[in-house]
Amino acid sequence: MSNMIDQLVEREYAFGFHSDLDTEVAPKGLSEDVVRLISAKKNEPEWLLEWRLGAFRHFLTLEEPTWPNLQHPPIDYQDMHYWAAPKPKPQLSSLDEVDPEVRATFDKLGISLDEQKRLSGVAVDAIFDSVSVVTTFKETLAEAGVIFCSFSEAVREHPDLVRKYLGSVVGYRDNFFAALNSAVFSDGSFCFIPAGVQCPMELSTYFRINAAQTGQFERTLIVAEEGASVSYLEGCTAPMRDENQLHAAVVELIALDDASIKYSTVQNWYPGDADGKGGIYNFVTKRGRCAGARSKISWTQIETGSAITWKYPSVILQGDDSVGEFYSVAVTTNHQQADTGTKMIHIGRNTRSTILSKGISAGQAQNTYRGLVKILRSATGARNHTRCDSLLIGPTCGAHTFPYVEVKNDTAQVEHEASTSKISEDQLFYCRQRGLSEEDASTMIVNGFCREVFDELPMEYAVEAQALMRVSLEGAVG
Amino acid sequence: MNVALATSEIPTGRDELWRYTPVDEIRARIERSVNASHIGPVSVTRPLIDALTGTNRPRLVFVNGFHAADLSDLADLPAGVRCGISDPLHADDTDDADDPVVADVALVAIAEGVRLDAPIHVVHVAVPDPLTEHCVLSLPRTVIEVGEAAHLVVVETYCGLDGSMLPTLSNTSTTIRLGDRARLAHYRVQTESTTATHVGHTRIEQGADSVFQMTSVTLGGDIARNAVEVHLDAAGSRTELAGISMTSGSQRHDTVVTVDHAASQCSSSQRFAGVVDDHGRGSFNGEIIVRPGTTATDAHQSSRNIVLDANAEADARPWLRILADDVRCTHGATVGRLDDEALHYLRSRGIALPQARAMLIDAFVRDITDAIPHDSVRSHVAALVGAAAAAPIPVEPHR
Repeated sequence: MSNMIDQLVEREYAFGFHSDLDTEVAPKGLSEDVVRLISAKKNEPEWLLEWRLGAFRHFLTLEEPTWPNLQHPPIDYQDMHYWAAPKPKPQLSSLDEVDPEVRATFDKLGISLDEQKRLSGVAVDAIFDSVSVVTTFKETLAEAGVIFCSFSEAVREHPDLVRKYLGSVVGYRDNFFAALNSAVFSDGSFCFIPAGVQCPMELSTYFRINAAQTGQFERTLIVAEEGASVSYLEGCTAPMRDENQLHAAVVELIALDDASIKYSTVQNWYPGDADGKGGIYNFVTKRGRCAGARSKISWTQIETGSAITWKYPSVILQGDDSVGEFYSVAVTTNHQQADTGTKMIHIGRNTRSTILSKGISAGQAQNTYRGLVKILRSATGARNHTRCDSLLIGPTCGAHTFPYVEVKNDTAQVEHEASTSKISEDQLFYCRQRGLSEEDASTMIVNGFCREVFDELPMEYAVEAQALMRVSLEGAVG
Repeated sequence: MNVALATSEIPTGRDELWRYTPVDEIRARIERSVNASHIGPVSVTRPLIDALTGTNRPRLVFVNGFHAADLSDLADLPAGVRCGISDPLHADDTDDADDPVVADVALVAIAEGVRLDAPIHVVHVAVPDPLTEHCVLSLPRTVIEVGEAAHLVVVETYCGLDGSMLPTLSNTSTTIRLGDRARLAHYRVQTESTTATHVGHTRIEQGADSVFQMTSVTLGGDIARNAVEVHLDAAGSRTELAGISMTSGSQRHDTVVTVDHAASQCSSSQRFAGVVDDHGRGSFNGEIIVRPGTTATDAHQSSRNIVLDANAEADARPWLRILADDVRCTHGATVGRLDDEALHYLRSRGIALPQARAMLIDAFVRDITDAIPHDSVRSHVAALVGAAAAAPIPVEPHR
């Protein structure tokens, strides 16, 4: 009888599966001992432990920020596991050695590693919980001189590079969640493109949140040396879970002279159920530094998941003639909340930035764009154009635009424009009288609204993003 | 220390609406100030007021927040128009007779259905204390009430003594109430001396189908803040706000505008232009709020700024907070400089740089001054703005 009940329960969770791996979990709570435990588990060098401890001590002096336009019950940072890893396994030499259950989970998500490897030509660094299980295509990349590996491996194999760049864009003193991440980060991706190299393939990482009650603290570091270029893709899915899960990642990008980095994200984590129960708290610090002249950093994000999204992928335009871009589509439905945007800090001469943000809000959701364009005294000839549009679907949702423009240079040119409206009745009528259903028409209009951002995505994501949009807004229109 | 302010909480720079205002500096100045009711009589003459604000009548004059009957001129007011002082303002907001009076309340009221086309002038003069040289703190308070379907024009002027090097601090409050279908054109001109601190607040409550038009001109003050708060609580009302702010020297000007759409079928527009020169700093804080359950809202906001000097700074914070879907809201904010080509064109026609610059600055704010429908006010404002635009420029040639 109890077996039958178990099976039924299992079936309920068909779309929010959760694989039963033998997970090694640290005791709940955050303390110096936990930080030491994480560092020891990962056989980290002394300097990294010291760095973590510095971050942890700084974290203790901070308070959780209250300025975002978000509402959630207080987070108990002592009621969480800060370390969870599949049990240590012998070094893997091929995909066949991966735990079959892990493989099955990826299959359910439609990202079979074999298929990825064979068909798409995309190198995948799959992060399962906190430890990288397998990295493919490493050899192809190694030939080009590109280093693409898990963060732990980078600490082992390329400690000098990691030490040089870790925390150089997002220091642990940056903010509450960055300090937390710096103290307890589990794993992540490291990517280094040496001078003059065009990365031969798109790099992507699939993040998974799996063990219940485990905050994930990813750390990603991408360095493009002089004249190098890389396109990095990040996609996210997560199983259904009733308790809120915290995810506080840090992504750092560094572009030297003439280098360019394109970072694309499709985020589709569990948003909670229709009543706003459960879902992921996604509190991320993403920042790039255009350190060199003529360098370029471009962020593209499609945010459809998570109960709460709090992130501002930013660019520090330090090198002369450097370029920063931010393209974003944020969709919130039901009780989702998003407070997202960007910061463009112009320091170098003739620096340019573009911001294009599209927010869609439906149900009882609240969607906020928050952005800062700052032109410092030294940024002669700086240029920015910002456009943020919001679309409201239904009378009970909210769309907010909170931009800041600060100009300290008389040669700068900054433009900001924004609009907020609902789906135009005229457009809807036009589509309907051509025989489209209201839902199809709405989806078409929404996709058109987001088109300029989708165009910035790598091909394989552009298709996925459109499908995602339809799924996300299902039932919200009409 | 000042009695009236000791009990109330002064905002901090962490308060979002005070983000760009130098709050700590204002607080320090308040702490060093003496209440206007505590200083000896100051001498202000009719010719002086005429020179500062023109000879327009009817006129209601206040010196450091206190009514100056000898300087006011209220002859021949039409029936239905009330102009004078209301209850005085006490130190701690109670009506306790023992409390010291800190200011008189200016009152302009027009009865139901009455229409008055000629502007009524309310003049607040901030006068320093030549004896002690302490900063003089005054609390000018104005109430404007427009009855149902009445039409009224009010020009509110805040001025100081030209060339005075002694500090003053005005903490002003204006409350405006419009009845149903009422119409008010309101001008707020601030030309206090460059040693003055001005913290201004205007609150507007509108009745159904009422129309409120406001043009503010901020030229004076060392630190000057112009906060406007419009509450659209009844259906069908319309608000049109416009403003010009120009800084030179080390002036700091802040414009803070909140339009709260709490009723349906309301429309609002904001057009603000800022010119920052020299070591000046100007900010625009705008916010449109559309409350849940409202329909057919139309709200627009634009903030244009030009930065004329490498040491100047312009900040804009144009916010939209939308909680209903039947809306059409837009905002735009730009920060730039004078058009190089236009400047070159004028100079190639033999116009010297200072004149060319003044012409282009004047043109930049012209759409706001030109839109003022009342001739006498328009020419007055145009002259003030023109003089500010033609102010001497730094020696360094424009890049």
